[in-house]
Amino acid sequence: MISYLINGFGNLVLSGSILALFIGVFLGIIIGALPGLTATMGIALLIPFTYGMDPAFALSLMVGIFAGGIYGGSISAILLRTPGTPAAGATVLDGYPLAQKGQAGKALAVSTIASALGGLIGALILTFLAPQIAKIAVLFGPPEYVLLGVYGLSMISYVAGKSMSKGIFMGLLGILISTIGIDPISGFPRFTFGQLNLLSGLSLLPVLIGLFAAAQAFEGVEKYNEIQSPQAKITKIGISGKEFLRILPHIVKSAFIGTFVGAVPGTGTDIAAFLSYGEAKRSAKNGNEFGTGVIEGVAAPESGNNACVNGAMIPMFTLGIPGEAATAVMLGGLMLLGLQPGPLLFRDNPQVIYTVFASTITSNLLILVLGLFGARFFAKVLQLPAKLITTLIFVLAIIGSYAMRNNTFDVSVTIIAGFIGFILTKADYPVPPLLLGLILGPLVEANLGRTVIISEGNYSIFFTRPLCWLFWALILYTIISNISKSRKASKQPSQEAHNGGKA
Amino acid sequence: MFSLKIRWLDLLIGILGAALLLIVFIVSASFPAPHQAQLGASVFPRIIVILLAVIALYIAFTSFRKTSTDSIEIHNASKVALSFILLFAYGLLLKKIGFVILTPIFITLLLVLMKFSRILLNVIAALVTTGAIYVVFRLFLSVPLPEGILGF
Repeated sequence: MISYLINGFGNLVLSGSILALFIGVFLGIIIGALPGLTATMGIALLIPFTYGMDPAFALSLMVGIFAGGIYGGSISAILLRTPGTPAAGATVLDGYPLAQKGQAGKALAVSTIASALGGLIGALILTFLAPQIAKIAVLFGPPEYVLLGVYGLSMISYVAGKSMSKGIFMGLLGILISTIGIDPISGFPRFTFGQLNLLSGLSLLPVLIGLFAAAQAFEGVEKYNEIQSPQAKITKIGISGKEFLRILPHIVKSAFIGTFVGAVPGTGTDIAAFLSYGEAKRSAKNGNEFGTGVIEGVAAPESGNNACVNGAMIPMFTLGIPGEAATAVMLGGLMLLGLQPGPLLFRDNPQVIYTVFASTITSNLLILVLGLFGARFFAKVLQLPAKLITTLIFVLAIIGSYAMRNNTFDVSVTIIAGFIGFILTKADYPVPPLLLGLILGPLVEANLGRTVIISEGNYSIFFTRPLCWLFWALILYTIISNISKSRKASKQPSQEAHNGGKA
Repeated sequence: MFSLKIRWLDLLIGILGAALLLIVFIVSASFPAPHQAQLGASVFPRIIVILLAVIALYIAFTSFRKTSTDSIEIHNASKVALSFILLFAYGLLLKKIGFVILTPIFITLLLVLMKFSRILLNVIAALVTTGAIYVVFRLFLSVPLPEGILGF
């Protein structure tokens, strides 16, 4: 295998695919950073051009766009509170506050390093363990998906903010909104009130852009006459060795979470990011400071989502099943190139496969170089006058939600979500749980429906499968450790405050 | 400045929860009955809305029992409302009139609303921003922007 991989690296350089990879990562970062343009869309736009290209060259281009796009989303999330892709939804939570503290350079560096390192770990797992992971991933049946979704929803307790009940309310509201549209099992249209636009439900991206970006711009209008503290000039892009050691465990753990979530078909980078964020908040010593701009809160989701990019390719290459939306498009591209994904691909085209594996590994180095080099330029955005930034966010939010489906309805959704987000956040109704509900609701419901069918209505199926037990344990552990943590916090409020003051 | 006591907003959320409960149950009554051993289209939304209504009412009650006088405040409320109306008009007219014409007007009006600078500078800033977005989206990435009456 190692010799194949070395050949792959050789081929990557000699065939010029590395150039394709570089262009891919570069374009991906730009596409990812612009709200409304996702990595999936980038690959889809590209496919017509790849027809007739050398397969390794074309696949390197796609890998580059995918990895670059998922990383790029964090740039606008950190600088403008506008997640460029849904995968960056969790990065906003600590990235934006960190930038507002005048540490945009540090936030960008953390996100770059975490994305590259998380992606690298994911790529190594993809290269060396793909067949083994795929075997576990195919054990996932509907009951396991339901419990994976419930596990994800238990993360609401970590992103709820000040009031747990309001967090749960928002999460349930998100799930309820996700039931609008065609029922996944019976195909019956629900709560559409005769509106054709509602048949496919409310899309995630317009809601996401509204809740974060548009809401932020409304706040900009509200505070237009407040004197802005001049942004500290960004001189330093990077982190200290001590800070690196602080985020390293979270990067590694999130990389494993992300790769696994990616390997399970039907889940995606957004879920990977939120799970990584929740787990980091649960396990970090400074968990109660999450949301105020801590580097761990930027590192975890960014490592998780870029690892997920590689994880998603595991079932795609080994089984021919896409692990994520972008890989579904890539799968189409793969077939257009005359490659049949699945176990035979490894036997018939090892050269192409291992060149692609070499690409996934190299793409992370390119992210590191381009990200750290570009951070200085990206961060210049913050030196624009605040009022200009506000208008820019408004226009990008509208164009971004429009670009998804060329649909005015999505634009209205963005504006309304923005206004609601603006008001509700003021009253401690947190926005992230709503997002989690919206992302995970359909996963839970569709698979609950399938579970009921395969078990013929017997719910004991949730307790008879070994993987289900694993999830039950995870869910219980998450909830119990959260309860005990909040008890501890309420028992020693003075000490916590004291410690917080020190930090 | 516009201000609203949080307890009133929480009460509104309680009412919203109860209203959603009612709406979901009434609307889902007309959903087709499930075949044998199927979940049925109405079950999941009903479970969720029951939980939602319970927690919404809980929020409303606990908030009203407390005597807290915390309020949410919106400074420059009239400007925020105006920006909302402007944004809506921009979003709805965008497809008909087109990005190239509407965006500079929208940005200029917003900048005037926020008293950014002198009118000429506002217009220049609006034109530059529009141009930059057009170049990146349309020319560089070939992403379609609303063409409207000009056709580009």
